[in-house]
Amino acid sequence: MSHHPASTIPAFGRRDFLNRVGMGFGALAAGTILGENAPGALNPLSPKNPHFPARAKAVIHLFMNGGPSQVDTFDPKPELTKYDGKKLPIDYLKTERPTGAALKSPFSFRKHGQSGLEISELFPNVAQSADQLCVIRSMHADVPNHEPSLLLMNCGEARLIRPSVGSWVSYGLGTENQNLPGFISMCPGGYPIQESQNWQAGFLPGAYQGTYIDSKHKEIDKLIANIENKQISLGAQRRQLDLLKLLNRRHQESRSGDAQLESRLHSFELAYRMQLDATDAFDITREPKYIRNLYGEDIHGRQTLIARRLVERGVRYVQLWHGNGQPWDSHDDLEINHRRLARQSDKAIGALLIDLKQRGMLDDTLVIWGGEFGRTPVVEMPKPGSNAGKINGRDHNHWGFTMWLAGGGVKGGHVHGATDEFGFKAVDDPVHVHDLHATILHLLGFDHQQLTYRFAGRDFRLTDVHGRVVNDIIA
Amino acid sequence: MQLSAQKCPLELVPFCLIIAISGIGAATPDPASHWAFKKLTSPVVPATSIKTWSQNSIDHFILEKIEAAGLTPSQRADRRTLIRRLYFGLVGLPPNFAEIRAFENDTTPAAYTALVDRLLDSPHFGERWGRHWLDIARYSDTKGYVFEESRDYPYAYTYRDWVIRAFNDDLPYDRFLTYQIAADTLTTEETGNRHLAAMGFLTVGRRFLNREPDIIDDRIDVTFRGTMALTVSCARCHDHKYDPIPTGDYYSLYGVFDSSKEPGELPLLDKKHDTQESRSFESAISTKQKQIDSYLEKRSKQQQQPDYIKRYLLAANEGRDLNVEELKKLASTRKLLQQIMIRWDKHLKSESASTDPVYAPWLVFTALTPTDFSKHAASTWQELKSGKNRLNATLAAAFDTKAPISLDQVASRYANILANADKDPELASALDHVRVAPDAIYSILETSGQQHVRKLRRELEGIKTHHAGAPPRAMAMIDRTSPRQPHVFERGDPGRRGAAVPRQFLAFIKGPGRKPFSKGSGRLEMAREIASKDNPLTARVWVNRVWGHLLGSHLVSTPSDFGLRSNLPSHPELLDHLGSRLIDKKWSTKKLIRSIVLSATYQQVTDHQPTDPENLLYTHAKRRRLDFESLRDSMLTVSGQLDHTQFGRPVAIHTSNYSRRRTVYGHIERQNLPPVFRIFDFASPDVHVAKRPETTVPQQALYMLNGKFAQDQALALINQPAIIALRSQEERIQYLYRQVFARDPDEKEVADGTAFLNPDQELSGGSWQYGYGNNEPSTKQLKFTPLPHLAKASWQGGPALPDPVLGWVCLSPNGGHPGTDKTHAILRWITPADGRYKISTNVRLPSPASDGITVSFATQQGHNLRAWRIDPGKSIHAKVQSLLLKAGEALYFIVEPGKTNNHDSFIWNPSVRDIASGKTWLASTGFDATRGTSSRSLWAQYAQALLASNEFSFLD
Repeated sequence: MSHHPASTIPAFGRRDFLNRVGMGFGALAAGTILGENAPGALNPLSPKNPHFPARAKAVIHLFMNGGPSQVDTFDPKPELTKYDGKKLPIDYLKTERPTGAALKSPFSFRKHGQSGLEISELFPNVAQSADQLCVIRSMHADVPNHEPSLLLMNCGEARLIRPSVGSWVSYGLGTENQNLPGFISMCPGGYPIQESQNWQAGFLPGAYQGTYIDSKHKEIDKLIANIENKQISLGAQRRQLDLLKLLNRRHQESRSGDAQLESRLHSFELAYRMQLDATDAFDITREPKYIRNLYGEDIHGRQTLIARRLVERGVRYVQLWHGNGQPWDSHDDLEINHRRLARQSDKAIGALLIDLKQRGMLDDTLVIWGGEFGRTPVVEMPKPGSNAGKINGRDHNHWGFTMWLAGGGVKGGHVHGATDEFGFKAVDDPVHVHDLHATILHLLGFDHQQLTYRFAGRDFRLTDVHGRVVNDIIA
Repeated sequence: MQLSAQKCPLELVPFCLIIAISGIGAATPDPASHWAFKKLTSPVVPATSIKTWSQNSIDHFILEKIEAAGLTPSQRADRRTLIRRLYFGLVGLPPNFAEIRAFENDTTPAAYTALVDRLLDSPHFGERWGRHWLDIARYSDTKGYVFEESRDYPYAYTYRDWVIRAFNDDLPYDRFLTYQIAADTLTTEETGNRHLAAMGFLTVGRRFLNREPDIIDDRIDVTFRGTMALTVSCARCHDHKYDPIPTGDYYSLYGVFDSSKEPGELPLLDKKHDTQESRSFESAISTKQKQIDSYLEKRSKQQQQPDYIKRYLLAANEGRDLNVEELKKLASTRKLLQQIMIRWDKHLKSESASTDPVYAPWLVFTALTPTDFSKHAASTWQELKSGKNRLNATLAAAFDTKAPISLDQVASRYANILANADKDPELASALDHVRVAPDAIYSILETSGQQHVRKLRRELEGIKTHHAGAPPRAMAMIDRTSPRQPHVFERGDPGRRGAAVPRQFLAFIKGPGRKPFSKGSGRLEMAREIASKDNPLTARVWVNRVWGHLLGSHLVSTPSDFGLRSNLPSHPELLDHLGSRLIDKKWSTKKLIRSIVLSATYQQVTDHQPTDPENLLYTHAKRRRLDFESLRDSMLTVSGQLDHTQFGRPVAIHTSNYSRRRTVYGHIERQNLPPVFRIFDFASPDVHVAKRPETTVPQQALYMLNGKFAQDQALALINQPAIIALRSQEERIQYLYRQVFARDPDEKEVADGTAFLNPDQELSGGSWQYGYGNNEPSTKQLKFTPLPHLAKASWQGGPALPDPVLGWVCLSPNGGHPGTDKTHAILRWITPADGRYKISTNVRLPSPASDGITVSFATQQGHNLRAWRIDPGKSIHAKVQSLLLKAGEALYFIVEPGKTNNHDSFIWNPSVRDIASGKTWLASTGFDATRGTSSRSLWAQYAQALLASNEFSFLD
């Protein structure tokens, strides 16, 4: 069965709808007018039912682009410390660059929460929610290079043009608040490597593509294109829209029953409300001071708090990138760099977990943390032009790395799988990126083999011919 | 850091979805009996019962099915509808008022045909139809993701222009295809290089970080889905799951592309023209090239200059016990080239060095300890001279004059002698090991040097790309000198070579008599097979595409998949009829279009037939929304802004400084396609697009309401001299209707417009106004004037503070600054209804440097209620607990300065509460309510609403 984008039953009852959306007038109108009535067929983002009841209704993907090191964060390896400075007694796996002796983690690990989950000193705030985390220590991907690995993690295919996870999810579920884009990708200061391909719609209609937002900005008009009218007040615009409605009604008098006309007319009303809702969603000054303090008022605090506000308002999929380029790519000075990167993001992520939990949103919001791959437990050899003269960093490692999930129906305080005793390769219960995708879709209520789209003569899916749901991590 | 593409060890995975998810259990039809693979027929035109409706043979095929369903077709649309439909369908632009009126008034029977022929001959025809083809060709002006090279395809536009011209010239479709695949083999004296540009069809695709198998796959895909609607790419890893395309056939075609290449320097399209621009281009190129050359030459020569020789010698000595890696590091810290350093090291450590007439003394000197160097230098030299090794004479002379006092000095002498050794061949050859020609030095430069050269080279590319005088080139392909033998890649993996296959065409088309291609790569032979009248697919695929563009739905609903799993044609006989007619009419696309638009089927009204709601039988015409190009081009047309310039380099159309040219000339950036394209369902430049999605999302509306482009067009409309010359509002409304909708407004519409343009002049109850004034001491009358200028967050006298006339007086949503004793800051509120109100505000005067201000409340003309003085740095709470006010009565909040108005910025939050209902009015929320209420702004809003209307965006 292919999943049809035009199926029209909202995924939840009306009251639920209003509760979830808060200032839900626009969304209600979208659900009833665009979802249930005929014009909805033209709105690609009308809410839709998944295959079976979902555990998660929204996703926040915290993308640590560049690749954080597992043995320094969530995968402690005492054996590695013993071999520090010596060659590991295993055959080295091929990574991007030549590597050398074992490099012990400069960070100390401690058990946290009731579960006793071990987390390094880099993430004291995240560690406060240790009992919510489901740490997958046995992730693996295909190649040790950023570009293909980013595409694999985001689109399930390393080279060719394929839709991103967020696009698939928008296609499958629509979005709950028509006054906001359904899939938003925020990256402060520019693009990550591979740029907007990371949130591409590929061959799906363009409406499913992620809306990119440069979260370094604070002004709403720099965050979302055309969201503000610089010329006239909202009151004046309301009058203009009333005129437009009148023009369109007159035009429709002799053209009754055409859904596309009604749908376009309605889209202007949605746009009008989007101006208010988007401005509201992105304005974190409307949060109480203690919440802003909790997240921190720097770039990461701001974009993470915005992410919570977006999901709260019914946005389906939010991706937060650490920064432009590949910030976590610590080929050298790992200790300095990882400390800095963790300090930049730990407070905001820790706050997000606490805040979502307090609001009861963690139950149906899936939080995903991780990079496109991890890093080697062994030191990277110096190379002119990059880390010349430095023997204190780690190379890319796709053989084994760590990601964690929280909320959205996954087990808390849980560790799944393991790398070898040094943290090089996933050996116990390995989870491929395709498996992660299958599991994400499962938590959102989809059979990953059935969420398909017909293109170029065949049915495509996110997981291609791969993927199996990792049942062990589902609560 | 990123790896270069070549090093990227991609593990190829089977990427096709092997399981036919929705096809399990469904019987796969037999290829031999599949309608699309059968020979094209020329079916008999059916007879129909209704005799008066049909205009040509097309209508008979359509009517037959309508009648069979017991239905009737629709009547012909009115002339106004028809001319608009034709204009957008054929040239993508709106007809103007005069053109519509002329057509409506032309009652001759041939009027419609004449209009069709005029539009087919229009130079804008190719701009409309060329863009349809560019969707198929996944056209883009860029390569997609790249590491460091330039992202641009500087000459992609020559392909776009070729396509536009091909449609304008009605180039027969078979030649149109053949040129795009093999123009390099078809250049003649007569055509010159002109048609080489056609090959952009193959080459404007994504470059996948230069991975050859993916580039070729993209080319196979665009070729076969584009021309024959075959998903040949499905056979990359395994035999096609449904269609009769074995994986061997994929690699037969792969071999054709693999035996072709893009020439290092793209061929020029025209003879070089000697213009001022071309000379300026040549000079810019040569300047930049010289910059590169001279840098490389400098770096090359530098290695033999005295100071460098000296530093190399000393560093080589210092590093003589280091391994290669350490030596490289040493070179880097000494700012020397690593490879040259290694060569010095090797040279000085070679066996012959110790007896070398030039370097032997150096080696001996290096053996001396630095502390007592000067003590032993002279004797060492004497020993050397008396030894059995011959010494170079020039060198010997230099050391004979005076013994060196340090190794540093020895190195200096060597450096000077070696660097100036032109006359002594022995000395000259002593530097051979470090001579690297300028054209070879790049690869051994340090990273920053290489980056510098790459930057210059990119700048050179930039000139070639962007310079207006750069001569156009074709993105052509040519055959390799010797064709490559294709092998099957097992499961698509180039690392797993399977059986060799010949370069040849598809088996299921050619049958058992298939022969391998014999000429070069075989590309021309392949092109001829595709563009053959015996090919069952090519003509059918093209007529289906053309039909779909004109009617809004295709006869075969999967226009780029005619394989076994495609949908059956709704009208198979009509498809064949059109296909065989296309071939009979020498593949003329214009004739095909002409016959379709002359049909009664095309000319029907759009009224829905409830009995055929999805219009499967074509019982009526389909109402259609303008696509991105038509919408944008129409807005520019009616605003009078459209620049009709044709062809040439792409222009930016999404930036704030956008071009006013037709959208087809817009720059298309494949990697980060600007959102406006995506929002309006533009064809993805990444994948071949047979049908654009049609979505309605609020972002489209935001663009029409708030986007600069839409606002600019509205302003341009109301700034047209003709409208300014008109006196009455009615005439101006009529002018706008004629301009935007190309018709006159009716009475109701004029009334709607008049109502919008004349809002109640009276201020409405509950509204706030930001102004200034004072209490005239003589009359005790309060004078209030609204502040004239709204800056970003404040009402004030003009754009800058202090204003030359009004000075510092200003009011923001939450504070302000008083002016002089004549220009107090005054906020006015209009009472909405009779009642009792509570009036209050906090006022704070933050600056201790002020000399205080006074806040007062007043009603109507000067009736002061109460005043409060605020001292510097202090705040007060001002309120009147209960006040009886009448509807329409004005209430004032007044701030006046002390003796001076220095540092008198204040913060406040005036509010009024209806005591009975509790409703509260906050001054801050009414801050900019009057923004957009000027007459000029109202006209602009009105024009913009017309542009944003459904009538403008839809085509009946």
